[in-house]
Amino acid sequence: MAGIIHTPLGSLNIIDVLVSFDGPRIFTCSNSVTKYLAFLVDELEESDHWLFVPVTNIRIQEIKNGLISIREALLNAEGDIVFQAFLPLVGGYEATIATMKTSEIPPGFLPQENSYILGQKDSTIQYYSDLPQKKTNAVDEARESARDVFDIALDMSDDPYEMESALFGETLINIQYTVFSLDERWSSSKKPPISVVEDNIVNVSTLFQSSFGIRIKSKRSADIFRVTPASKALRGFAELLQDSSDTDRLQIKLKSINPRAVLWYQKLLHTVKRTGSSLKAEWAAPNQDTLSVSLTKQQVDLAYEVTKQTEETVYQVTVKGTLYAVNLKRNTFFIEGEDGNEYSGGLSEDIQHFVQKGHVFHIPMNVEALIEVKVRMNLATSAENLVFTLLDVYSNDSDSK
Amino acid sequence: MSTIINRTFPGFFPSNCPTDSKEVDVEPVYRLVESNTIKAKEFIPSGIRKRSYLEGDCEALALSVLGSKDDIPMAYRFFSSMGLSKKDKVAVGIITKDSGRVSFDKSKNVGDSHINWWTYDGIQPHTFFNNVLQIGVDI
Repeated sequence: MAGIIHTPLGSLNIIDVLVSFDGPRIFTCSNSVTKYLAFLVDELEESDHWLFVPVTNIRIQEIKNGLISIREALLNAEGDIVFQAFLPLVGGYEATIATMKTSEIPPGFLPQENSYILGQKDSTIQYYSDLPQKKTNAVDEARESARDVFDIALDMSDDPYEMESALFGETLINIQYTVFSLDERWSSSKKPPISVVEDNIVNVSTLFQSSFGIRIKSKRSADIFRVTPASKALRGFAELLQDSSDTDRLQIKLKSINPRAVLWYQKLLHTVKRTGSSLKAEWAAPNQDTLSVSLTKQQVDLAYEVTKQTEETVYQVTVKGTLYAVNLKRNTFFIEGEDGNEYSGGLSEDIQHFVQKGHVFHIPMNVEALIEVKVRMNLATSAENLVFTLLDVYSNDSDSK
Repeated sequence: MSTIINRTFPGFFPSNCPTDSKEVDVEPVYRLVESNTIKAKEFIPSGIRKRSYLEGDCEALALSVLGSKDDIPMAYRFFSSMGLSKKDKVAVGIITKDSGRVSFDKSKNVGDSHINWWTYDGIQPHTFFNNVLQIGVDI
């Protein structure tokens, strides 16, 4: 380590000095979460003017290998955001920091186009990418397209610009179902209700270089309030990712969301974990709401372990429908719900005692039933198992139980 | 030229800084500067100037100079590309063995004659320079 630089982004460990003149002027540095490229723009009377941009390991390699210049690294910062900091030289002044879009960096702040790190080219490492550069940032794209935009970038350790097709497919399925399950209307049925699907479908609109960047967009457009039907669930997904940077926060979060979402999110983390990636994500809504998050590989692993603690979840739902069968010998029931779903499972001990005392169900019977739902998910097979137990029944044909 | 009081470094230097260095006379040496005249503020090591927010970097406490005139164009081109185009002049001076310690740190970016110069407490580096040349005119 070549020192520490104290900034409003935190105290950053200097990892690799790329350009030194009387000390480091261009270098990589990091806190526990994010790696930055630091660039000294100017030395003023009372402060120094710096730019910091988040970088991935791959981007660092590209810079060091002379594949891209420092100028390009700043202008094409992943996330399209650059932090501008003024660090005071004497006491009594506060360090300041502001963000700006990379497209707004004044040319005078930038090094020249030929600002390649010479002499460090390592020809043994060459990455070629078919992926295009991201053309628009998420916020601008969401505003202009009137759709939610969710950018996810996986920084894979082996081949940064390609992904196994099976893992890619799993990633997309798990993202989609995590989003579906964050819609509270998907509660008891095994398949998401049609309304949940229609409102929350997301489309892949492009892949981009970041290392492996995936842009998904809500299928449906915004209403007059600049909100799409998927905005709430996608925001919930972004918040879930944000809370995953801290295990305590994640544990609290998992207790507050649909248990099914926990299981699908666990599957997503499992897939990301298998790619060996760190993960960055940014959500932007047409109304300019936005959230961004960066998770290290270690944070992904930890978050996965936290979700594993909830591999089996239990909750209760109230179902309106028709009770068609109660089998006293096998202690089973069957209800056809008004929501179009079928519920069959076991009887609770209370119900069994109730029947043994002589109560008779006159079926078919319109009922409002309290049902316990136990969701078990097998990560290896991706199979989801729902176990229903009938806890209580209220007849809608009469006022009696 | 300054009178040498002792051979110690300022108290804020890390305890093992500098390592792999020696006391040696080097003449001439060249340093990229902005001004036409010798100004003390252009001879303050970055690590001292930035002490309020940068810590623990021994190299930042040294002044960068070149030991060969031949490396000046390369160094100028490189630093210009990295945003230091205002440093288009070269101060010419000497390093004496009682002014501090040096390490000859070849640089692929600025040339093999690159030198890091850590000056002892009380030394004013700018007083070791007496001439400024214009790159592209004098060199």
